[in-house]
Amino acid sequence: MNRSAIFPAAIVLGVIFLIVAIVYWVGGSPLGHHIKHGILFFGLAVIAFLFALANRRQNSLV
Amino acid sequence: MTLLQAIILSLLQGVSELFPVSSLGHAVLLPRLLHWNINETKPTWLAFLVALHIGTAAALLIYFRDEWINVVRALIRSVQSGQMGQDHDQRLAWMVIAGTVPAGLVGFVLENPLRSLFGSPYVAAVFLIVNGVVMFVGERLLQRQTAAQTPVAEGAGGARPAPVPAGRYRDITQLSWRDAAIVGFAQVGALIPGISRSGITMVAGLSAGLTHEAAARYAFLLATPVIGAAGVLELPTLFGSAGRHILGDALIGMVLAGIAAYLSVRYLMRYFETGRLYPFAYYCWAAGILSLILLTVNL
Repeated sequence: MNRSAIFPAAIVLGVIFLIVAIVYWVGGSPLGHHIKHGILFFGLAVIAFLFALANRRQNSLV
Repeated sequence: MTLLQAIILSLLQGVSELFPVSSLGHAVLLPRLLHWNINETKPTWLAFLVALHIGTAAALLIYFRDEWINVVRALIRSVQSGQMGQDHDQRLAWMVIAGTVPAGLVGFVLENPLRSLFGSPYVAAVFLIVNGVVMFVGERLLQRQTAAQTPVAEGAGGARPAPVPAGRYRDITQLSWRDAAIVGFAQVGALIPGISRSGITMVAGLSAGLTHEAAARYAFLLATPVIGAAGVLELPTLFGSAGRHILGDALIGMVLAGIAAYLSVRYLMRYFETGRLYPFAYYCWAAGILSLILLTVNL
């Protein structure tokens, strides 16, 4: 993968995870599995955004 | 569940979660073998398990507290600088994430189907034997590889392997990103009762070139967020209506599982400085075969 593409790709992935998390939260009961799945996807979104921030300068992945 | 049963199960969980002998396999087998009338589908059982997982994860966090503090600081540095992998701790931080995320995603999809498919005590006993085979074969292949790579000292009478054999890494960060992710991915196998998380992750780490000590360290670092998340995400169950009935037992279980896990990880990190996986493979074979015999005789 072209390293300059890592930052936008990670941002897109993070946004997708965030949307999935919101969909889970909106569709779930307060203590149901949907809430937990939503939390998991929110965590993945945070990781994707952190990854994007840590790769905002080109050629940073060693 | 009586208090004595809760105590025994807590100690068993704390030890078997970290020893490469499958805690899930033991949790399925032991109540059945001892004829304990525990309904593992009830919410109270789930609440109890949550407490044990939190205790185990807390023990791992405490034991590896220096590593975790460094990892979090490195992660913050990495985000601030906009560059990752600039130093040892930054690389370790991202390797733990690389090893956790794919396993977490696949585990999320496969957990329920696999547990319902392989939840019987017979299957757990069979996979305990398989777990032993995986560790035994992994060690054997490693032994051959090491013997082929370690030069024989002239006139030594008996060749002594170097402290760190050629081609093996004592430092986790010497792994490639791909290997770090593959080692973490191996944790998915632990969704099957009988297959040990630490065992299968260690074998994967050894195959990727880590020493036993480094493979054990990476396995425990990877296990911490997974075990912790499994507990924290189910916290509402523990403090909900199901957990209220067993809160006392659950708190005692959490502390006991934590103590057992701490002592286990301390022992295992020392053991793997020189020790091998063979004794655990033999144990899994013996426990699996004995369980199959006892389960069959009882029918």
